[in-house]
Amino acid sequence: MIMDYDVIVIGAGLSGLIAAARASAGGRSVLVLARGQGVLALTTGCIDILGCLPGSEGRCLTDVAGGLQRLAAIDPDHPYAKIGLDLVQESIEFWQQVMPAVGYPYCGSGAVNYLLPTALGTVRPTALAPATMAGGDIRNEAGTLVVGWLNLLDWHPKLIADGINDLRNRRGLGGAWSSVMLDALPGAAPELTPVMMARFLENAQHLELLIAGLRKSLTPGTGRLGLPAVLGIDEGAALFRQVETRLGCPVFEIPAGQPTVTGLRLAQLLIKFLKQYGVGFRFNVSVLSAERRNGAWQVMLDLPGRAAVVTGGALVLATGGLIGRGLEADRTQIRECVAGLPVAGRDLPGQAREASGWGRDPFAMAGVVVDGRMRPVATDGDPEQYRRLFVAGSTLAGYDPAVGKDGLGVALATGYVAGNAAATEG
Amino acid sequence: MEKTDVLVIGGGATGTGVLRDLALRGVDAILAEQQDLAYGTSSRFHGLLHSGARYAVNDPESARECRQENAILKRIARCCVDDTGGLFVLLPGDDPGYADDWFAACLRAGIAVQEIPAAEALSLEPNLNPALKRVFRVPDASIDGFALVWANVGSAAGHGARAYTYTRVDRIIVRDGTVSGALVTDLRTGEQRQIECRFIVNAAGAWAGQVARLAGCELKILASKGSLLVFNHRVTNRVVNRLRRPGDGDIIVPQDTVAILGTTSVPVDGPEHLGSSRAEVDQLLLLGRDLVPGLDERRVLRSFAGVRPLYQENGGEGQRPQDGRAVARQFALVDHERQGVRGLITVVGGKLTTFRLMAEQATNLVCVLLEHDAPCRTAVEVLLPEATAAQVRQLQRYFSPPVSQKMAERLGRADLDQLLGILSRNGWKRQFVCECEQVCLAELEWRATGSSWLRLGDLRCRTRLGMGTCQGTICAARAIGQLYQDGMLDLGRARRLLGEFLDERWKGNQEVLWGDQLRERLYARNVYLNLHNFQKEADDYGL
Repeated sequence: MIMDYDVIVIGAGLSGLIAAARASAGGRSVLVLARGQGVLALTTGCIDILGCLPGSEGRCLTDVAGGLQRLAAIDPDHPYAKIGLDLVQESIEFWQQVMPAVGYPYCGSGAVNYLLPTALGTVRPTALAPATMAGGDIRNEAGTLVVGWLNLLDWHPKLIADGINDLRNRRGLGGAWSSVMLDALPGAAPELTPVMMARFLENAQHLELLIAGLRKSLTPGTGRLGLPAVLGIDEGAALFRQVETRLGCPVFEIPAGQPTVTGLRLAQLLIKFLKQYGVGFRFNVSVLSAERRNGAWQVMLDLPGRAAVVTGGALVLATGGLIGRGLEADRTQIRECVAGLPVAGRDLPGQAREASGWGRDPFAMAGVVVDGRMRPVATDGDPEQYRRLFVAGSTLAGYDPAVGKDGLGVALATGYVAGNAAATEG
Repeated sequence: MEKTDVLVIGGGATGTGVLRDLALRGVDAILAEQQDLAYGTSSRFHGLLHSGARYAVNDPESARECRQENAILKRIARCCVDDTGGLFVLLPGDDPGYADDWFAACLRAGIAVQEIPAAEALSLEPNLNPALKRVFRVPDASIDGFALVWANVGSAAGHGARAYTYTRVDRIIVRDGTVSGALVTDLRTGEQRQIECRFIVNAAGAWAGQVARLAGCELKILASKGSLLVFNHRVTNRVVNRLRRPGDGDIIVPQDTVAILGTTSVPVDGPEHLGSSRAEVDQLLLLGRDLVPGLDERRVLRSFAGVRPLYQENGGEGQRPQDGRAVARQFALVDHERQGVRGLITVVGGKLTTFRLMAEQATNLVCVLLEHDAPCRTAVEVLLPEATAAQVRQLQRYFSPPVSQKMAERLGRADLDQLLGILSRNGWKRQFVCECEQVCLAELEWRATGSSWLRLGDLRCRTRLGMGTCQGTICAARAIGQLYQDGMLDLGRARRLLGEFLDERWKGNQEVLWGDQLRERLYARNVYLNLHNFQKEADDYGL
């Protein structure tokens, strides 16, 4: 293992991977260190740039570009407001260049939102959706059949079809969704999670069985088929295209269960792509600490039976928030785990609180405060101490993706800016 | 108009115990509960089936009652009792003289107490404080309050009794100084109706004072709140008591997959709107770590509180005690005839361990007044007939042997028949809706069709769905989805129930948000608010 890199990225969620991609595209040697799989598999895999404005009480935003302008005006602490909207736009363009090269294209301009169905029969706004999902917009007039299998967990086609019809009716669109429950796929386990089913379908014979069953359920009124996101993981959109072509009917996926196939697929394809381009990866490794010494970042790794040090000219912290364990809370304080950066909202665990869980959550908003180039601010002591350190993704303060529907959008934009800064700032 | 001999008010352990006792003696009876069964104290406690040892010094009478009832419940209620055994642990700094007094008092009360070497105790329970001085074994056990109450009602129903949940008693009708019935409202439909009866047994626990007032009678109930913490695993496999004068935070009870640490004792005005404060949580953790070092570092799933209804004979004259523990835990049987109302009896106080005895004595009194001569059979008749070996073998076609065994013990013969019926029709309903507590779709279907329920939380109490580590994150959507798929809910209700269920689960962890439990809470928000964009209020999404 090489021990010296231009850029070290800690964290293999979307912000870390994008920072690595950007720094690598800038000609730097990059190492990504990751403790686990990253929390990308806990997302829909869609790039939500902005789905709901603060205080909009859950209204789905369709005009993303307009929404970003408004957000920047009313919420100056939001990471987008710090970066500036031009760089947000640049990060979207970067994404649109990278993903075709990955072989897993995303649809959407980024300026408006799709309204995609969820596994709970609700609707979710998102700006950039994988080709396997983008065909599911609920405003589409096609007669839509949602298909399920008895042995598949976390998937209730009738709830989805009826829920979407209810929303369509409120919009005066008329209910055009129906559902069908098929028998268990022969040869599959009696209880399948969506990820297990995706692995099952990576076998060509199993996929044939699936296609045969779907063909039987098509009726003359079926304009498109809604499937759980189970169409393979490793092969990107290939199985999806095969199913669509063979059936002669448009198909779309809806993410279901935990982890999601669409999130897992995106993570694996991006990692594979970056590896091909020379980005180094080291998984299942805990970072003990990171310190700037002699003009470089020294990152202490906890390897089995020994400690090791890797050094990098620049460091990108994309370690995640409280869910991803980049931040840890004990009974009195939240701390940033790798570099000991100051945390806005540090004292929340010891304070009285009233949050119901449904609105913006102070814990979700807590994190590291940065400037427009993703450099930590309000650090005490020697500024040299945090030179060439950049923070991206959920470690940052100032946004709550559960409410704003801006999680992977912020990860993309801040990862892009951090990667850019790490590659260019001398 | 509906008629019965006895109307029992209150669906906790005592009320359902009275209902069962009456039914077994052939007395026609109806039970009315304003919420779901076991809504009150019967589910809001640590789940300790007392051996009596805790009361041996202060309250020898209670200790003896507990000893007897402990033995009876282990015999008749195996479906709800986990016979873990218990330990009393003397810690450094606690009064060693008390240990000797306590040991002698246990012997006097007939409690099977046995001292064991410290090393043996630590090998049985390696998490205990290694500095412990002395350890005694007692026959404490763990009991599931929900299951107990449901088993009581199931047994009573088998003998003709009726139990109505979400049925509030608005007025007790008294004619010429004698109870003749009650006006009740079905809270689901809003309809009011009259139930005619000859006797009313007030077993409303912490609400008993309010019920007595419906008949114009005064009854002074002191309410003492106890807060408890739920840990995400069995911190100990036995009940562990701190050997000292009973105080706060000195009991740990393993309950199925979790463990409960309790309790505090805080005087409160009434039984409603209870929660644990952060200060109580901190205090419990501080005390708990004396018994189990590092307990305050372990993951707490939630906090909850219950009210001990304490009866004061003198009608509540004088000061209210600062510590509810100063009031005897014996129960009281009040015939309100002395207040001018014939046919109204209140049974109150006591503790869950002695619910059967309380019910027996209340029922004895009712039978005397009814001039109905029939012996009590609740101490000898098994509460829930046990699963047969053939049933367990059938279950093993769907589940592994240990899972089958556990399910069989929990469900008993009659429910298992229903479950196996569903599985034979729809084998795929073996799928687990709740993996933490191993609740399958067939069990959910049976509970949802075979009993009357209003909230998803009611099904949780019947099945343990959502009680484990994930606290509903995975299983709430699965349960709602399946109930909807099976045609048991409409869309509006499905959404309402899900929101309500998440609210309830989240309220419970509001005061324990740090470490892994904070992560779990944020993860749950990510699943419901973000991935599913599930909104409790604005469910039209601005479309």
